[in-house]
Amino acid sequence: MVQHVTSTHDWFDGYSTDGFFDEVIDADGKVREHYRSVADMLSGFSPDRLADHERQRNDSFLTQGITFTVYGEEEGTERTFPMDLVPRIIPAHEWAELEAGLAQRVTALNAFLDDLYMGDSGIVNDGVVPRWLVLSSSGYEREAVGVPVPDGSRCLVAGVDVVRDGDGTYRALEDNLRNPSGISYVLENRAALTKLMPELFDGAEVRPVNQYGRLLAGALRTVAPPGSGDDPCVVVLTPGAFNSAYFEHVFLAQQLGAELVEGRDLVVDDHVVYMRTTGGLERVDVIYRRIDDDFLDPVVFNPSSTLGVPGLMAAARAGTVTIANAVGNGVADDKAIYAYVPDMIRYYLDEEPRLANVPTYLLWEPEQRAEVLARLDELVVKPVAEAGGYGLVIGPDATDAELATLAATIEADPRNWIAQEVVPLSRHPTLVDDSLEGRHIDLRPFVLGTAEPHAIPGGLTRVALRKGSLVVNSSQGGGSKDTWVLAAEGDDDLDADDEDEDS
Amino acid sequence: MRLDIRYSSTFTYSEPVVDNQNELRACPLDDDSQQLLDYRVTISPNARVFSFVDAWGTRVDAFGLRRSHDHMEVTAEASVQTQLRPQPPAAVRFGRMDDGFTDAHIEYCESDRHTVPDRAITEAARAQRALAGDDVVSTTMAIHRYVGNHLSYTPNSTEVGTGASEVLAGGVGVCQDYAHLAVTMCRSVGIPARYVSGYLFTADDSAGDAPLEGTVVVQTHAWFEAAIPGVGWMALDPTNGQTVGERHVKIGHGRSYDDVLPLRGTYSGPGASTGTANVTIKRMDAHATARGRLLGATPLQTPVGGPAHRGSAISELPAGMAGSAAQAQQQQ
Amino acid sequence: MLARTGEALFWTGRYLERAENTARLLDDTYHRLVESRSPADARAWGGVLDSVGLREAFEARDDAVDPGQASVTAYLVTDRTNPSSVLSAVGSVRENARGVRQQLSTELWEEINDFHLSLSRRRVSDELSRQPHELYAFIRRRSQAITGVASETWVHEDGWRFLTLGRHLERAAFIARIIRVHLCSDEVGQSGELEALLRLTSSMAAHRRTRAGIPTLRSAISLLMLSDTLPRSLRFCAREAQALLLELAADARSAPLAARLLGRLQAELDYADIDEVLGGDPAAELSGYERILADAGTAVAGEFFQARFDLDQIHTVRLTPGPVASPAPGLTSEFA
Repeated sequence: MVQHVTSTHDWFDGYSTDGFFDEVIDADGKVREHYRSVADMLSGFSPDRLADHERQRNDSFLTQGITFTVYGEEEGTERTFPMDLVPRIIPAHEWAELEAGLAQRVTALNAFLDDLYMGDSGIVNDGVVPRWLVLSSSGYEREAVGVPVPDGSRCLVAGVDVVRDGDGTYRALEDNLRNPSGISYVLENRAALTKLMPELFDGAEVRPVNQYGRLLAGALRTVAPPGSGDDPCVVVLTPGAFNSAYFEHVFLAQQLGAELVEGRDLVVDDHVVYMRTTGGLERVDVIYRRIDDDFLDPVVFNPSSTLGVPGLMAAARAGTVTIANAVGNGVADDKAIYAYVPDMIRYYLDEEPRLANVPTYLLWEPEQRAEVLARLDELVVKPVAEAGGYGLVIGPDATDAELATLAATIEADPRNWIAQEVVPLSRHPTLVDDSLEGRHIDLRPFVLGTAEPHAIPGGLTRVALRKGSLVVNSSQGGGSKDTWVLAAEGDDDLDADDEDEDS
Repeated sequence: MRLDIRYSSTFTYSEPVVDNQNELRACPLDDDSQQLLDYRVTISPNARVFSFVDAWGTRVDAFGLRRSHDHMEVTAEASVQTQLRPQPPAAVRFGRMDDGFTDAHIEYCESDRHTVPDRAITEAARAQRALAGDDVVSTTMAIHRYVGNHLSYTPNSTEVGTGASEVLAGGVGVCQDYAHLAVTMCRSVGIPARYVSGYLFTADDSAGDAPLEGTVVVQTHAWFEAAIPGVGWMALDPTNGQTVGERHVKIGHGRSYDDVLPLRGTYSGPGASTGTANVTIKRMDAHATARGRLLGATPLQTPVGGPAHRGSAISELPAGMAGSAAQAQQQQ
Repeated sequence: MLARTGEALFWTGRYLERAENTARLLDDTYHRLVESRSPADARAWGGVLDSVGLREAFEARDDAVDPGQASVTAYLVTDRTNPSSVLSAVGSVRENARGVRQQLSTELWEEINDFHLSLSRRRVSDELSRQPHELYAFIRRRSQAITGVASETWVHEDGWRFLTLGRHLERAAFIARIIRVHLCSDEVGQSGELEALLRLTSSMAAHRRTRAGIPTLRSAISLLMLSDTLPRSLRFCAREAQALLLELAADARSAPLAARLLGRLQAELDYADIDEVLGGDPAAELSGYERILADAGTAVAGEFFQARFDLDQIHTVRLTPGPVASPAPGLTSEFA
């Protein structure tokens, strides 16, 4: 394609990195090598044109219903997840190392969970992870003890949140092993950007992401119960159309070519799960569920849940059906257990972690607690069992009164809080009116945790759209970026799906 | 003592229901003080039973009736051989409950919905400890006696879900309330304690009618166990003010009632359910001779109702409140 | 196909048709009254309620007022407490479709979603009080556009069949009802009223082609009941619905109950003689047809959406007891 540059706009005029690690501009103020072609292309876009693209993208997402529901606002408020048009780019060598680190991490987490639920809890008995810490975790699910998953692939889909610190080192910030969401935005953002600004892709060898559905389908097949044949019946279980992530559930069912079912569509007969169809009952082998543990089966969990399937847990225990992700993964999500993931990697794999943690303080240890309480205004404090940024307190931003309350809360219940050093998250140029400004970002890669874990290239880059904010969660005013992983020299990209399905 | 136990729960529904899924925890444990000789579960209408051992070591029998039905009968028959248990040990100082001991029993040190200590519980427990001195065994015994003396056995005075603080304040309850209060008090002075579900063979029921041929009509029962450093678990039955012996048949244990409830499940349908459960125990090696009024043996008629709205309803029979049709049994 | 999916699509079709029929009826009534400055205002608006089968529901409301233009229009268009009002029905169309959107073609989902969004962006109450025609025409056009998009972009498999089945059953019930309401009205046989019947079933042109001249009771009823080419005739709708049911149950051992019911209705219409019909008690006849259609709806729910997986329940399907009432909207069956 020939690019007719009709106007040039200096998007980086007056841009400052403010001393943060910037994904595009290096310490000398130069555009990094792997961003050069995109930066050149951008200069051909006028601010009006970009604003126009942004509007088009928003309209098209609304019409297609690519939305999430915001809880706590007026009922039925549907919003699109804002996408910034400047892509985040990860060079091939960085991704290769990151992916290896992610695979290693998920392998260890799977081993840990299978040890706890199916094995003899060796890691606990050997004193590597404290027994009391596991048993007192709200995510440890006794009802899952003895419920098998083939290959021990208990985290079949893992979302590991990764950040880059002040010197650009990638670090794992938290593990999302229950129902990590966001993959639909990865695919939709890419589809939107290729439609709106195809020129940007000129000359860049960007690894595709649209093979995700096929990879996930393959991963789900690996956990089908023995004896379910070559073509196991996979379904996606959703809480229903009123769930905030319903769009994603629809999207995944489409990508997988699977039925999207609700609890009331499934029934258990003699410990076998069936779905109710217009032609009768059809046997189900694998349930990719997007319902929390507590709602899965009213016999075993919350008895007032109408979202689940009575008898499902007994069927899973009998091994006639596999629930993915496995029940009870929350124990490894626990932010206090997170601190032990590097030890798990050493224990199970006899390897050193390739992807570092963020330095974390365990508040039940008296010395660590004392240090944290003395430095509360410099640290981030998180409740151990929450996801999505809920309950998090950023010391430097908190008032004295807030810090005093926090200190009292920690003293009363040290088990349920951790503290971490504030990571000066890397920043990325982001469109603000007609110029670019640095905004903090993170990355949620999606790892398919089969016997040989693999990640789709990139993941969801979330960006804190508010100036200076470190909170990137979609529920807390974050946006997203298309995330590019560049192909390595001679990379064939065999894993691409050639046909571009309509979405 | 060789005992044959027959547990039976019958539910009738005012309108046909479907998708009735349940878990039964009625099988006697096989451990050092009792041996399970035989066990069999029968469901009517017929259903396939899937059995497993849960995280607490209790055998669970899972079954479901998908098709429309208007009654359900669950029967579990067990033969078990029980032994006398060792006498409570001599004094053990509190200092022996170090961090390692607490960590090893962490599950039995924390509270759940039945066992949240309030100020009154904590104070009562501390008072017992002060009386007993620096001795875990005596403190546990003191709590056991305090609970037995303080509470008055009153059927239907509490419900499934009644917490220990309400039980203490109300001063009344059934066996599961005694066990919850004792467990909560032990934990509040640092002694790990757990709730036990089981059966109690009593040669006399409080209705005063002597059983024939050694068969008694009772109910599921509950007591508690406390962890004693260097010794193990000490089992006490505060409802009857006695240590647990060869007349007690243990099903399983957990943090509280919720972890070992005998029968839990849901069904779908607009109908309301009425349920009764009863247990008959027959001594097989000799005629029952012991006599005495044991509170745990009061036969009750407890209707168990689910909400009459459409959708799922909960059918659960509380331990110790499980009603039995004593007359019907004796007429057989 | 999931039973729930089939059910949602069936109701998508019914609600879509219901919204369109209501809009057609209100449009026609409003303009006739404007032209004729008819004093029979209340009676005409009461007739509208009869024609949509909602007079009882309207009168049973707490704040019941006499039927008049404002009250009936508000009840049938904007009243959210009336599940059959146009706004409720379109909302139900969208919610039902949203629940199964992965089954729809992208174009169909976007068309349905956009219908809902565009309608909720309009100032409906203002339009109703000033110039409602544009609103009614909009509803009719968008409803038809959805049918077209469904037909042209979506595989004609079970999903499409349930949607189309819902439309045809709803439409057949509507036609039977408006004919019966006409037969029972004081203006029976008046050419103005007959023309209105033809207009609201898009059959004026078809009637002209029969060269019958000014519509008579015989010519109009004959067309609306017995035509086998008019898409809004009772016979046409019954035949389509029956054919769809047979396709839906292609692998079943015996024809579903709903198909048997509709087959009998269709045979009766195939061999009916208009003079015999009019010579007898046509209103009673139509009332019987309405009952068959309601039973067929119940049987569809029983066999496809609820009972197939539990055959011992099908015997408890209770077919329409007592006098014909409009099927309760959203109520899919009448199980014991």
